[in-house]
Amino acid sequence: MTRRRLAVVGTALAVAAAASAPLWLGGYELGVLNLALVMGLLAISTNIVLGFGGLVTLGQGAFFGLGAYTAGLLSTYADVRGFAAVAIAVAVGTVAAGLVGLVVLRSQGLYFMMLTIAIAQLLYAVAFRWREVSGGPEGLVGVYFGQPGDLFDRPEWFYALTLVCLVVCTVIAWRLRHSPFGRSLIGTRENAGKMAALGFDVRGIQLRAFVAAGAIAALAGALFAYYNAFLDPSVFGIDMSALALIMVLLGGSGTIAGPIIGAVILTFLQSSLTSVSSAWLLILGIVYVLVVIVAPRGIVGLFTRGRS
Amino acid sequence: MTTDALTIRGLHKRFRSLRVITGLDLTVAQGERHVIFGPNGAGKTTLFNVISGQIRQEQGTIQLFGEPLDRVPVFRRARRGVVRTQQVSSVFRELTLRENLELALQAQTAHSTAFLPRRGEGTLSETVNEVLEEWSWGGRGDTVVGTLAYGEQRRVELATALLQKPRLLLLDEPMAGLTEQESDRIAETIAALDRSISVLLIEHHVSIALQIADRVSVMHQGTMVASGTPEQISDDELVREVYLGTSAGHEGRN
Repeated sequence: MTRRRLAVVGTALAVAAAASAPLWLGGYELGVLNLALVMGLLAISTNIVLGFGGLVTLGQGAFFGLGAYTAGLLSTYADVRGFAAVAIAVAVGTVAAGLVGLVVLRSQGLYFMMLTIAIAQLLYAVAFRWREVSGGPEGLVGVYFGQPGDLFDRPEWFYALTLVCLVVCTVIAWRLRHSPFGRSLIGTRENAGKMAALGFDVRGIQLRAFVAAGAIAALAGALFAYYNAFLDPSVFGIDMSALALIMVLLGGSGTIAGPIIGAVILTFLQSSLTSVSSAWLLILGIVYVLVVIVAPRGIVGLFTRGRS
Repeated sequence: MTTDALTIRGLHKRFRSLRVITGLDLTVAQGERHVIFGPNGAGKTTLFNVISGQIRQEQGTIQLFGEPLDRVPVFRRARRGVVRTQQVSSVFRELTLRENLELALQAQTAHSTAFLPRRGEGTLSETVNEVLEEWSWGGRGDTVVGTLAYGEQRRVELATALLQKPRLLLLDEPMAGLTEQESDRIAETIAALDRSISVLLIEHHVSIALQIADRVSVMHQGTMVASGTPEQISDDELVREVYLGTSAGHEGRN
């Protein structure tokens, strides 16, 4: 089978399995899968910056958290829910990513990474301290996508909504990768100096990737808040960003399917391990080390020879 | 009177206490092939970095066809036609030959970073095919450039530079590290360039450079110590002293 056919068949099987999951998965497992798909969105977001753009970010939690808190605040204070609330959350994430990107993209490499951490930590501190609005460390309780009794109040329908979002964002990521823009983004990853010499506005290209990623992270954050019906400052935490990063590396950085594969594996691993042991972070560390040694190009990289 | 392609006046650049360029003047006429000689450390590559915008000078002005280039970022200078190749070949090593050429061509289109496919993407790949044939890479479009021989990588870099429709082409030792055969091939390409392109060339390969050159400048300790026709320069005593005298013996090995 050619690689292309393998990809088509694999995608078709995966979509069919995911779409029919409510029929054959138990309530608990469906919930975990739903969470995995939400994390898959965050991983796609991270992959656009890291995998396509070659910029190591540990701060996608900033936009994830902003999306979550926007949804949460709208739900608890203004009773704004549903698609309108999600749209507002995505808009907030998009604008924030634009502003943050203007600042952090002025630096490169390690400094860029440190700045992304700093921004996320700053927002974490605000959410933690600004008790009157954010609820402080106790967070916000009762964050719902729909009114009680609505269609999307039912887990299988909320799952379907998440799946649609994931499919749409995957198509966007794929389209982005294979557009002129995607080609230029890969170019900046491979040789930014050469791109500038060719006449490309490197920072402008990176900024647009950062904004697209911010929008998707905010969508993930909003769905995360609705999924839990609750949120606290940990959505901004560095462990959230790091988890997304490891998902991308595990699945295959710079690939389309990789981030989702990584998200599904790690989310199921996490849910089965936290119930039996408290050593989840240790396990995550071991997974990370194994990936680096055994499959430096991720799971997808094991099946594709040569290059992404 | 036609405007000169490049006019540099009173250029100074230093790195901390090290003065690399010290009051340099240089004029490149339109369509001229201008060769810069100079010993290692004379500041030649730094001069190219300043012209192409990678580093900024402390003092002095640079004009491209009469328009000032100061404070214009690298990518805008490239769009205005200042195109350079690097001393050590700069290509997308992990990408294929085709992708390297596509990026160079794409930079020339109006929607160079569009998210949605545009009309013209089809003609882009046709043009790439033509370029592949033209440079005798037919059938090798999917080769990853990093796996090509170094001489071929230099040609890839030169090809992408020419696709950028340069008005001023800066070539930094395009024959360094190449075999004699490969050098000749590059020299032929340079000699055959359209006269609408002005060329500034750093080259240690004296005999080849003198054949190409309309005009030669000799750089020493950050400034031009002599400038003239190839004949004048080969006869110049001072030039022999600072450069030709010390490197003529190495010529064959460069």
